[in-house]
Amino acid sequence: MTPRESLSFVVNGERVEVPVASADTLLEVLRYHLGLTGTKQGCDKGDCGACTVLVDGRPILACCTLAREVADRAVTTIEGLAGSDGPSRLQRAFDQAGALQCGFCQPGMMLSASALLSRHPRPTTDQIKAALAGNLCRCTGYTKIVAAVELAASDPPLATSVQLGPAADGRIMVGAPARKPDAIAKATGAARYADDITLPRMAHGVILRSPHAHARIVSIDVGPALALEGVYAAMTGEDLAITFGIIPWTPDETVLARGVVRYVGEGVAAVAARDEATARVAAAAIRVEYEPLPAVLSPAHAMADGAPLVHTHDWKGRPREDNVCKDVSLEFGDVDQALARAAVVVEGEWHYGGSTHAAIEPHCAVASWGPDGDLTVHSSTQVSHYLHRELAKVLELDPARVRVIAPTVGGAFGGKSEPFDLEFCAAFLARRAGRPVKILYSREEVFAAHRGRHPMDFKFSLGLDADGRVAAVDSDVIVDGGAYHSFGLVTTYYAGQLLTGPIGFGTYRFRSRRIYTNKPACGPKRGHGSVQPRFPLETALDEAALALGLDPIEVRRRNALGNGATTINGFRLGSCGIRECLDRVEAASEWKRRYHAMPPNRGLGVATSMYISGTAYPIYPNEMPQSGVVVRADRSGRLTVFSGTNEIGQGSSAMLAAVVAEETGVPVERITVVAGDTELTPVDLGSYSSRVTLMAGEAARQAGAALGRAMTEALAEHAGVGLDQVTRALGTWHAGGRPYPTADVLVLAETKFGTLATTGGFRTIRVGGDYRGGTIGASPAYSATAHVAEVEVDPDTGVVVVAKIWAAHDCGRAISPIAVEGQIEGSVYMGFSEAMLEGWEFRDNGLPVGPNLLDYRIATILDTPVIEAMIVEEPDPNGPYGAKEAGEGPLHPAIPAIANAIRHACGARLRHLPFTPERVLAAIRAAAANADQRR
Amino acid sequence: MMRLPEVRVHVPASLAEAVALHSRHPGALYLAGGTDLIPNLKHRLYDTSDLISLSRILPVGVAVADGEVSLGAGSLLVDLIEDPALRTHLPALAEALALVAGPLHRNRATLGGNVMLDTRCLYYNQTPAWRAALGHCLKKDGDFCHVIGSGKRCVAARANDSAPLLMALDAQLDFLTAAGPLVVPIRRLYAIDGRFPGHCHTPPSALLTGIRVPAPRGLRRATYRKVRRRAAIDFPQLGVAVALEQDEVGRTASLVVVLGALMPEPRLVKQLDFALGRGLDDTVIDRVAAVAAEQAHPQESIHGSSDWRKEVTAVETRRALHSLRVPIGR
Repeated sequence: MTPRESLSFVVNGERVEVPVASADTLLEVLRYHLGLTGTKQGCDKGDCGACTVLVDGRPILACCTLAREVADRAVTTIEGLAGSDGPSRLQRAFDQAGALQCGFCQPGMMLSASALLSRHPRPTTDQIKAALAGNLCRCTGYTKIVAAVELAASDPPLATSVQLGPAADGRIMVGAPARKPDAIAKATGAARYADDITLPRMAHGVILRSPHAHARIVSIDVGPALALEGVYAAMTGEDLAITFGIIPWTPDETVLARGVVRYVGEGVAAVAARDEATARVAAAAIRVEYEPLPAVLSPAHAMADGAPLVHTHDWKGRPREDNVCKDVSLEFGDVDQALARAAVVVEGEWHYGGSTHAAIEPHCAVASWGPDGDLTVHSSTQVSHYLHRELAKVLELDPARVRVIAPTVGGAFGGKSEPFDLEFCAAFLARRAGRPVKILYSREEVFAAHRGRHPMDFKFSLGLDADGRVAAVDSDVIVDGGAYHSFGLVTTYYAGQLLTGPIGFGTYRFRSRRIYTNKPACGPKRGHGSVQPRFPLETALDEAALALGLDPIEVRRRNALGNGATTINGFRLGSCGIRECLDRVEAASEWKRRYHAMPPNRGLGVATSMYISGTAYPIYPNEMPQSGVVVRADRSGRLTVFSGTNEIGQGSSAMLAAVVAEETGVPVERITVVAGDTELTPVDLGSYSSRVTLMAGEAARQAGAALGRAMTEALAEHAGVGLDQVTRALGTWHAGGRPYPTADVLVLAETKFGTLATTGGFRTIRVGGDYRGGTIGASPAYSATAHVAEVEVDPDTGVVVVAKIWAAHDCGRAISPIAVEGQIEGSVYMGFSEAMLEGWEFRDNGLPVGPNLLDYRIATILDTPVIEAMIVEEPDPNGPYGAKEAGEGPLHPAIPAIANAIRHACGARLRHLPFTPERVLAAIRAAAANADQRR
Repeated sequence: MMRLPEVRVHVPASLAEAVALHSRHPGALYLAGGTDLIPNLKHRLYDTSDLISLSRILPVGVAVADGEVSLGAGSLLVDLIEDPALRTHLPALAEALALVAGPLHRNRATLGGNVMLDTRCLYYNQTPAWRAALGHCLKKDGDFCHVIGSGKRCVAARANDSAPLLMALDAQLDFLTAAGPLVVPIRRLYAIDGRFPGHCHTPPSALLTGIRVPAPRGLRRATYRKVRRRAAIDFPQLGVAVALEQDEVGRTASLVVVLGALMPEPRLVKQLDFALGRGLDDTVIDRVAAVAAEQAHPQESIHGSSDWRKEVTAVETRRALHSLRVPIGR
């Protein structure tokens, strides 16, 4: 063992003595020796700020500070911000302002803010941004973080109630601005994320990964690893042969590579040891002999004649002949004829570069086996239920003996929405080692796991009639899939199917092909599959409108679909508030006054989008509810809501509590939500495809309403009044002129009906087009969004500053307006960041250019534009209270709106993401050359 | 999470003891703020098992005397940025240091550490697994530079924001070595080869203790412009420092332009004599900018294409000069 010396320092006002090794960082000592797990680890090496703590009052990076260096100094962690009278004003302000989504970056953020406020009690907005510029947040777009610091620095007392304002339309909770019930735990560092879990005798696992993009595994010898002291178990791909995949039709993955590695970073073996350092040494000691194979890194190469095959056989052992893993063609109407007759046709090639989720929390799983052979896996997952199923399948276990628990999840964005190697490996190694095993991805491993936004190449044509109507859209899409299917079957459809609103098409044709390449598998990133085609559509629409002399907003209005419309591919839009969205961004940006009067090199751009509120059908065919909720009451007047949903920071638990409060009058303060635990909660399919508010919200509404009915009947009987004489408000019901606290009403209900537990379930609503593939992209409801972006272009360097984005989003009904605003702001940020900064790029040998948070740049608070989020409510008949999605749709328009604004500013048309200064400058020159030619 | 290798941390009580420790452990590395050294150690970029902690012994603070601004090498960037004396006498340095990395780095990083910063490269500042998959590089464990496609010279970038400006201002560096004090002009510090050690002309045992900058006189002014993709955290893709001295009617008495982050050695732009003794009008500025760009040879060892960074060199040089010049005939 490493020699340790005693270190003495003061942490949160208390002197501690702790034995440390020379190589221990302050972060490791705080988290793993002192149990102060509120200090987070995000990037390994000083790029993200999640590990920020105060040393002698100054915020510093604990991961870049040797523990020895703080001897006798005073360290403050998030646990030390609260006083004896509870959370500090700053912590409560973060809660009240809605600044806490996943919460993972927030302890560091709050410590930076705390240091700022001690020096500048009334900071300016610029001072706040400067002080927080080293703390990356992936959820919030920083908007509510700035608001939270401003609130903390102001005088008014903070709210003590959950509800901060009136509810909507005579309701009692739905529509009310409210704090999130789980926010203060995140603000104080009390929330437990996967890596905060430590179990007795727990070992640490490490997965050894391939250095080759494509190679045959000749041999693996784990012997040298097992020979090391403190190493408990090892495994290879040969130990788990059963294939899996999130889509049941395309199970092309194994836990670890078997025979062939297909991308740099693919797992080949794993070890468990007494600590992570030992496990890393052991993993490095494993001997793997590879025979390198030629790799294909681009779809163009992969589709060329004679290209090496990423998969020579499919999962059933059938030989494959090419690298096309899915090929979809659909045509609606006579596109060729419509294009021939169009007044203007814009056509060309567009390229959407890939991007990754970069949630600040790295994936982590902790697996343990009970004495009776039951497996429990804690994992930072968005899909507890699917993980449950796949664990049982691959490990060949009775599903009834497997339990998956999603603890607090530190951001996901689609990056944690399928099973990953670490969950299987932790479970397998834990069985083999006879002790619990934790596996925590390094940041580089998070990049290898990927499942991020697919790069797509488009050959795209759009034709407008003389009156500005979209006569035809023709899109040929090549989707760069990476080495495995992931959600690829769905992605291939989404790349075409989700494009047909809120702008209606006269005719439409798309061909979409997803191609295997020797890179990490792409998958669903926020706005799965449909963010990419928005880019050619909305920029081509702009070009076409310009050619016709039409205002960009006006052309979108003319083509806007309305409530009850059916898209050309057969999707019914219950509600579609795109017109109001356009009106709102037009007014807020003062478009009419400013569009033709912008200063040089400054421009405005508009774009729209539509997105699903969940997929109509479950991933695996079944007739059971897609989401179930149980509400049970106890005699204290408290309700517990059980739901299989995964709270990933988006606010699903708060939403469930608000819905149940609405239906029962029981205040949110008295509602506990138990979520994402497959043993305790009824099934929900998971937090993906923006399904939770509509589906779990509806299930909760039913369960809450059933309990509400029982309460009504019991109180009416008790008070001797008719059912219509019973009214409810939050905390108190009324009957016969008398108030009854909800706790008393629950006692009456339990007395009358017996033990109180009610259920609700969302069942599939049959929707979609009547053709093969017509259900993929079909959803119970569709959101609509419009953005206006304002940019300033430096014509000498090509540097673009996105100054502001106005985003109006139709979410049907905002059950929690603060949470909806947060989703809009975070979506806008993420779209902006991938448009301007993020590049998912590889070297010729298949190595990612920079799989870390310094080389892969996500926007800081200083880069992020001012974001003005506007909620539009066009209630949908299929949503609870009319609610639709808000978490993904608002991302889409950011990218084309920025591109259109750059065009407006300087004439440069960008058809290649991201919009680097190099590309912008080249586009400026191309535009100038074109203008010269025309003269 | 990524852990440090096994290391011994020595905590000397004095600078002399620190240097003596280095003599006993020749491969040892000096540790000041650690914001770059620690990530590099986590990446296993150095074959050392000894760190010599300087955090409690390095001189700190700013002193102005005898026409010189003296800066303790251990001064934290955050303290220098806010230091009233520095803001009065060398505002450009305070402003340049405010552009280093992010606020959390600046709260621990030292000026001495920034001056002595290792060079950076996209093929070097990566994990051991990544570099092994690459087959290593000239700068560490390999014999081939992936940037220029040969095995002759390491072209990692000198990506420290302090260097161009301190070179423009002709700073002197005070080192302590086992043989006694050593003064090195910063213009002679950086090597043309980016390999570590050796990227600086001083021996690895030399301990930087202080930085002395001639105090500006009259109308001598300086500025530093940094180009990076994000407004915080990022290293420069290009740094342009200009020191300009003009007389009261706007004639240029001296002009120094230094380009950073392009190559292992910041580039002191030559052949600017044509600009001396005359007003700095737009024509002259454009010519200076063109000469600077001509002498810029950006290597793609860091982010940003070579062509673009070369072109922006002219733009930023022009902007720097515009921001500094005294109107002709004032």
